[in-house]
Amino acid sequence: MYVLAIILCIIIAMVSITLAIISNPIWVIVMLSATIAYGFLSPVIASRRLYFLASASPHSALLATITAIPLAMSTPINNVYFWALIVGLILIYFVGYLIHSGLDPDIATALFVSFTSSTSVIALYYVLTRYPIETDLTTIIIGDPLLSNWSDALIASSIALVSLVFIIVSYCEQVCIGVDRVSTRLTGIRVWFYDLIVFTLLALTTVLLIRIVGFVLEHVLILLPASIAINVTDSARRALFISVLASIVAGLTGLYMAILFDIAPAGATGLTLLAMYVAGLLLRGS
Amino acid sequence: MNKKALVMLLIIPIPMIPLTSNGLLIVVTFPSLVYDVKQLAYIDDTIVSIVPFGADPHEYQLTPSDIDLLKKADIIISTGHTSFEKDIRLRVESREFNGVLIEINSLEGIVIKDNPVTHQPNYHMVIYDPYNYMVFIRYLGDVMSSLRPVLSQYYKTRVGDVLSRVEGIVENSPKLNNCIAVADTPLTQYAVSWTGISIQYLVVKEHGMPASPKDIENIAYSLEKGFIDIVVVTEPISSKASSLLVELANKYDVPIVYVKSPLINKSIVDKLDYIASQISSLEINAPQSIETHSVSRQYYMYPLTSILVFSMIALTLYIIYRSGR
Repeated sequence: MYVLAIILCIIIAMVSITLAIISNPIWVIVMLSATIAYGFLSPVIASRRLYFLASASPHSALLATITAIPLAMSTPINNVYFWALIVGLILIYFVGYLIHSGLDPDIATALFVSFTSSTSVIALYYVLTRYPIETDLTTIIIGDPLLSNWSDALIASSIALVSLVFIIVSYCEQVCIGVDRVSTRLTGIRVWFYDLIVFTLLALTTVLLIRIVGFVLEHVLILLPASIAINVTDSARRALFISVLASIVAGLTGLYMAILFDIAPAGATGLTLLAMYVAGLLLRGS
Repeated sequence: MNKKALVMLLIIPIPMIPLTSNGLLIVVTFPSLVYDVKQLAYIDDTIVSIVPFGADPHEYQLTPSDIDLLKKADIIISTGHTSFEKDIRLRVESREFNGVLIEINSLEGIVIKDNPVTHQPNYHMVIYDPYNYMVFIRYLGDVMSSLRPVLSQYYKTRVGDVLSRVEGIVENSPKLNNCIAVADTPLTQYAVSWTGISIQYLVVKEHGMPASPKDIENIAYSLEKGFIDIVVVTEPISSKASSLLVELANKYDVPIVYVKSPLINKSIVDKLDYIASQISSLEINAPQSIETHSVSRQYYMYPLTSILVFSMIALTLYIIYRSGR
């Protein structure tokens, strides 16, 4: 298995290089970074049973991105990314605090979704009709990784690196907390610290990558890689490996399909991941 | 009181506007139209924009106060292509609004061009074309004269002033026939086509559509190979598409023509003047024939990439299969 994994890593590297040659290296970096970030985050979300919150977090990212526009324009810190991150972190920390305090994650998330969805609609209309548009909100929803520049590539790769490092370092504890939160706390592990890591990574990946991969693809990339992994293995370590693998392979294949057939890469990546999920189900059945 | 302050007074919400005079109440849908209509208006005519300045009219919905305002309007000026403008048309047809509706895109004499990439009609700011603009100004002057016959001569004089200014800009501007251009969005098409510039490439083909890989590759390749003479970019530069074009133009040393966004608070005449001043100072090499060029991709790489991608997927599925055993 290890030999196969090494061969696959080499092939992934070769595909990345050839895609960079035939298209644009920025596109490859951005897609790789996004898929690595979500590929690592996805199994943690699954093990912590935070699917509902994870699928709701792009809503908070949308709200954060929209509210960041007037905040950036009316304060001395004229940086939309900064304000989006601050608002996104506050929103996620709030729901994280509710969950940490013992409220059922689904109920806490339901409250969170109700709040963010409703306020997103109001904020969207308010910003679109009252502020000069600094960004096209449609592209935030659909996603436009092909218009990314080197600065976007740098942000995306930094997020991928942060996600990779923090998940690898804390993965064992995250799974333990997901399996039995009370017992894990009794062993002396600072559960609140690991909660903080998950919620911070969730906010970081959704808020900062929404402008690059878009609202729609974020949903798919957060949820499906771990679902593919959980379908075929009971091992937490293998689940992490398969999740990252499926995410990266789907991202690169989606980009290649987009180049080949001249379609939007966000949609092509989502469909590839879905096809892998279905293939995983069929393989499991066989 | 300076000019800007005077205009701001004219566009304050209706409850604060004293409607006691005999002046016309003209309601426009796009905020920049205020400055175009103002060129013809008499001192007691009131011009109000429904959409606030700087906001995107494509996403706007009518509010109850807008409805009240539109009911009082003598003239309603609309481009007729956004959803709230279509709503206005229906309400005028059902006689909920009694003002005269001027839908610019439907006026006789207005030429709607086809989007050069999608080949569908381009409805974005058709009066950025000076010939369409003159049609609109003439029609508006006639409507204002008919509603206020006492000031008919005044309105006609103002129409004449605006038309002669537009004609002067068109006549004095050099013609760049057969110059091929790439633009960031379709709304630039009307702004530059009158100069002879032919937009053949668009980064964003239609409002809200994502860019496609082939389009971006073709644009970069054509700029690199010198198939594109001019880059047309919307100003202020706020979208990723505009930034990308500026970056590519600077990289391949292609001249840039900046087109003021329709959302900028200036009349079309001022915006055309701004374009004309840039066109006059452009130094363009011998223009190419008008045809688009497709990127000469490294096609020899495609079989190799396909094999690698196929191997990658197959091996991943095999590992997934083995993991379940």
